[in-house]
Amino acid sequence: MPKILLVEDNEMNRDMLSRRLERKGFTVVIAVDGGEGVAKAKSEKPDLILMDLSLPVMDGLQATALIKADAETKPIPVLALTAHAMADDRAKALAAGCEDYDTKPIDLPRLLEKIDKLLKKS
Amino acid sequence: MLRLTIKNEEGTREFEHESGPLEIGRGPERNGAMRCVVLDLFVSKDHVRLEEFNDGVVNIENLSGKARVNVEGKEPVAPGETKLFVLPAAFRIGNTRVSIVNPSSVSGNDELVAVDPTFAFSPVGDRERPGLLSLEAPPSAEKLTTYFESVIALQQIPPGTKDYYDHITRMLVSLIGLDRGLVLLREDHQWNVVSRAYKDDGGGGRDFSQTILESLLRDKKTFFQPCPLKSGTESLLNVHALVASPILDDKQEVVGALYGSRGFSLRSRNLGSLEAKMVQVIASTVSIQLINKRQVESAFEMRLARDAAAGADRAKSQFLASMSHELRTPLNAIIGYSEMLSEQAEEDGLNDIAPDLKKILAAGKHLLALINDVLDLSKIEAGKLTLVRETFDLKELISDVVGTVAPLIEKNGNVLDLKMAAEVPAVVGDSLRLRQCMFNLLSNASKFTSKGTITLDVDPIVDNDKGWVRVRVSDTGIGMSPEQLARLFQSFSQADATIARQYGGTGLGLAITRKLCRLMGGDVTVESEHGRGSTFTMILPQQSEVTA
Repeated sequence: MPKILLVEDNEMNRDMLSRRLERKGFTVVIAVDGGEGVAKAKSEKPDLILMDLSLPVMDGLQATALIKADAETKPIPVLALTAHAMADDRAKALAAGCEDYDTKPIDLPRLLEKIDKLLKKS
Repeated sequence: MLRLTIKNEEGTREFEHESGPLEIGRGPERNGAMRCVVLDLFVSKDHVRLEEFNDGVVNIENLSGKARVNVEGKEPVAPGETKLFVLPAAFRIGNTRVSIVNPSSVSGNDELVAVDPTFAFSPVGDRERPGLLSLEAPPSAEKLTTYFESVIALQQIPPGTKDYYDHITRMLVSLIGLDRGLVLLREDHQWNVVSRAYKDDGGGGRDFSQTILESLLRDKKTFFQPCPLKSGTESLLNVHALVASPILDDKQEVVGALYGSRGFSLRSRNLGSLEAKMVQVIASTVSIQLINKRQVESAFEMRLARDAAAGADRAKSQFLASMSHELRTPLNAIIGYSEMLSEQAEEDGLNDIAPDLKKILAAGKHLLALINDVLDLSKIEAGKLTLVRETFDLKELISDVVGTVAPLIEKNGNVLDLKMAAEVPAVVGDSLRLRQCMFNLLSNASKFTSKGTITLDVDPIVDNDKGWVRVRVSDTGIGMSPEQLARLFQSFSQADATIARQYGGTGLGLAITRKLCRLMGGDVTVESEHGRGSTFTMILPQQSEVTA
């Protein structure tokens, strides 16, 4: 089963999304901030990372940049999630190395489609 | 120089005459001549002209055509006749006796006062009712200096204070030499005395007369009575002399008055016109200072109000921003968990609770849309919504919007007919807001149409040498009546209250769309026929103006 690392600081969002993904058959590991996200990307070796962009301590863009800078974690696809529906957030996410991008609130079928696409690619 | 004493039943007056001819009597004022009016001469219509020559020789000219002038110990001067006399001489005109003294022949302590013809002889009485000979010593240079200093000092005192008004009444009494000085302000159609000063006992009589004050209100200029009138109005009978000058506001309305008078007594002096002018100057100074004060105050109040409004505006923006966050966080949990549960209920075949969960989800989504719309609208209305100016591909944006709206269109069994011009230029503007407007129009069309066609027409047009993009959304839905159309673009006014229950929606979509379109430099209009469908036409500049 594909393993997804969900980096999300909001407990409720984390709980909902991880449970919904688990019901779809994914193994979900979680991290609550950017730093933990980078560490778990290395230790858990997930098949895909769902990265919230607005995180405490280290934000999602920085965490993504670090993940992409490490040869070991570089191949893991990162899908950015943000509450801001701003055009330049998309550009920033892609510039930081994210493979794709989705906006919150989560539209599960749309997100699953994007996850599937990225998993097939890698 | 002639020194004259004029005496009759009314009293005695003394004065000096420096040079030139002097007329005593009634008649038109003549250039270059001084004129004195002696009350009882009016009856006899006698009119005498005096002129001094060298060595104390006085020429007496009887200008009257009726009566003789009796010169003491000498022969009378017949009407129209002129005679030379050597001083001292005295003569009578009716009951008035005029003594002429050559001051060079007078020794001792007699004080001589210089007489300036411009103010020494105030116009007294009038043609029909001549007054007593008016004689006033002009203020000395020293007195004038003190006066000017006092007016300057007045300008250093905060206007409108008790100190300010007290300074004025002190000036009226000790500088102008009035027995009573008052400052009155008019408030709520009432005259209120705000300061008063008296010399000694104030000379008796009333402080002020309502009649005089009412005349100030009407005439808006200084009222001046230099000496007692023989048959004055009741209000003037108990004063010897009076001056009242209005305080005017910036609209030339009377807001107050300076009021000074001399009580009626034999010792009372008449009031000179220069003294009246001095009072008038104080009144003008007060008017100007009070106007300035009010202007400064109103500017200050306006600034306070503006600051308060700006503060309230900031508070409102802050409130909206935090409300946005505070409302959305729990709402996201409601939407998220009900969505999750309804997915699970469907997957697990829990058909008894799945529809209820879907209702919670729908209500949550509706509430979220409402919050978003209200926030958008308040941002637009507060002028807080700033548009982005970026170049984007219109075709790409349209296919994006069509992709988003497709599930809504299909939901009611509608089909979308997309007609796009082959050549669509790149657009410079706010793609996010354009997307929002198009989404609003397309989702409305699909909401109010079932098993019909929704047409999206996009073409570039040129008008007034300017490139525009025209987006038309037509449907074959329920349409609207003219009454419904009239209220269409207003906030919270869906065409009909029942519409909200039947079709959903916040009632803000079209209000926001119109406001956004206008903000972007364009507009949105509608044509509709009840039962036939509606066409919304959005026209936006191909290149938006630079927004500040």
